[in-house]
Amino acid sequence: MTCLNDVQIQAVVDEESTDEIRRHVAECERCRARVAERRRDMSRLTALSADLWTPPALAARVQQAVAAAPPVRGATALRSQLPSGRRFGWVSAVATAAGIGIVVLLVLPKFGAPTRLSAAQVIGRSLTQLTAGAGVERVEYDLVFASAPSRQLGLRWPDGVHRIHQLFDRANPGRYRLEQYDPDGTLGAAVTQDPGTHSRSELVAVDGRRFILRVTALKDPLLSIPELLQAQIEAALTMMQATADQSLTVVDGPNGRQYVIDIAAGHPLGDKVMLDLTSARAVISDGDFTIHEFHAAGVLLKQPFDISFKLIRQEKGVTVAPGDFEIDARPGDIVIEGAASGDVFHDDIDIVLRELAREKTR
Amino acid sequence: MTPVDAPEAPATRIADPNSEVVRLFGDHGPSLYRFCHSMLGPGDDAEDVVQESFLRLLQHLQASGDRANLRAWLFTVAANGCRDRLRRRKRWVPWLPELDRRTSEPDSAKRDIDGAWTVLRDLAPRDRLLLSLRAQGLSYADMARAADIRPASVGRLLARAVDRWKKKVGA
Repeated sequence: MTCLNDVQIQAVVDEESTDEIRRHVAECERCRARVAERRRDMSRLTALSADLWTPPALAARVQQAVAAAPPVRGATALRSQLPSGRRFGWVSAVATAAGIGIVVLLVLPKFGAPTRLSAAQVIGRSLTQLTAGAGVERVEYDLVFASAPSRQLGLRWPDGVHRIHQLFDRANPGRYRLEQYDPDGTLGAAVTQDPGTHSRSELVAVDGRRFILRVTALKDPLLSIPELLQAQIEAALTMMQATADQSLTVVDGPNGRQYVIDIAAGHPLGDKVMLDLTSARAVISDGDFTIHEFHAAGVLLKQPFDISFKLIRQEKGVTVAPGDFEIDARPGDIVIEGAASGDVFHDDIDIVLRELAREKTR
Repeated sequence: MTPVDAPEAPATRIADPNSEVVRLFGDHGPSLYRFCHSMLGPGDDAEDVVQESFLRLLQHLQASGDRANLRAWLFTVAANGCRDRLRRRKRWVPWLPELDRRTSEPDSAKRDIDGAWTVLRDLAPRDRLLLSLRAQGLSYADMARAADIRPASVGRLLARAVDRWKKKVGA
């Protein structure tokens, strides 16, 4: 017998080979060495997952889900093996149609709990929840910019994953605190604004040095970034609600039952429109219709955008101290402070230029 | 139409399917979780697919479905669940612990393991599926069923997948 090929070596290691092949390995030093090497590869592969412990909560979750599951009729059928030859087209079409019929009529209603809500209704309730509430909310979330929207929002953040810590006072529009952490965990930027104290602060890092710009005597607060982001999500949700081909899936997860609503990638209307949505996905909790995940891609202000949001934590009715809407300076920070000039869009640059002029004339 | 799940053993009604599923979770849950984790990475998705698989097993048993080789049955359902999740994930970039550099710098051994994981997850879906199934000790026949490929092709496809993984890991 000639020496073994790679497939036969693999089969020996996996104990799937014939007696004849095994006998050859016993007699052939070269093949024995190759089997030993492949066995080491497979051990390394197996060892990768061997140390993974099943999360203790998973067993409890499964037991709970099994206990709560309603009785059903009709066994779950697995996909058949691939046929060795080509099927006739009409057989395939009939089988597909029958399969879809079975899934729609018999199988789908048995996954999770049937919902009487449509995707549009779920989105509608979520929109209501998104804009409802009073008092201060503390929210932590991941924001992923894969295209231009951070610039459209006036932010200087690079594309990528950003962890955001946000305080947002619903009772006082414009009062907020937002901190953006880079993927390496460093505070990349922060913005606070408090119409009550007529102040706004911004923290930026330039060449590794932190600058804090404080604007006092603020007459007209800027629209807050949380409000801008919320407006963008609201607009995308509204478009999803109006789209005809949403898909709604009910999933039981660690956070309880959730609705997953997708709209498939569609044909863009072109880059001349103000707002267009080419694909979107929202994961919304069943109980309070909170949005846990959201992704949208399309065109905003004639620029492509791709934004993803994932909720990490949310607290409502948070008690805050007055200083929570200010940025505290640390040793080494350069703080520039000045009164608002009345032109909200140029306050920052005016204050910096005034400070520069003072330094030059000293 | 050919039955898609031809019984290998006579179906019998189980007195208490719920207890049976809990018992089967004890037998197969950990390896099914390891498989799903290999396919989907850390996070909730792997746990979700495991839970969904056992819920479908419950439905299967309640309906007196075929009880022959339930381990292969579970891996087939989980493999389909993983494939669905991966399709849905196309555009979402999840927050992964390995991307979070706020955690302490890993030692070199951990870096090697992380690297091998990363390579595994960067492989083509079918390569990753076959390697993940084999790592949990499934036979070629069971792998063929779970991966929806011909049994005669498993050895060849698996050997190639191992070669590709090994080449990228740099072993």
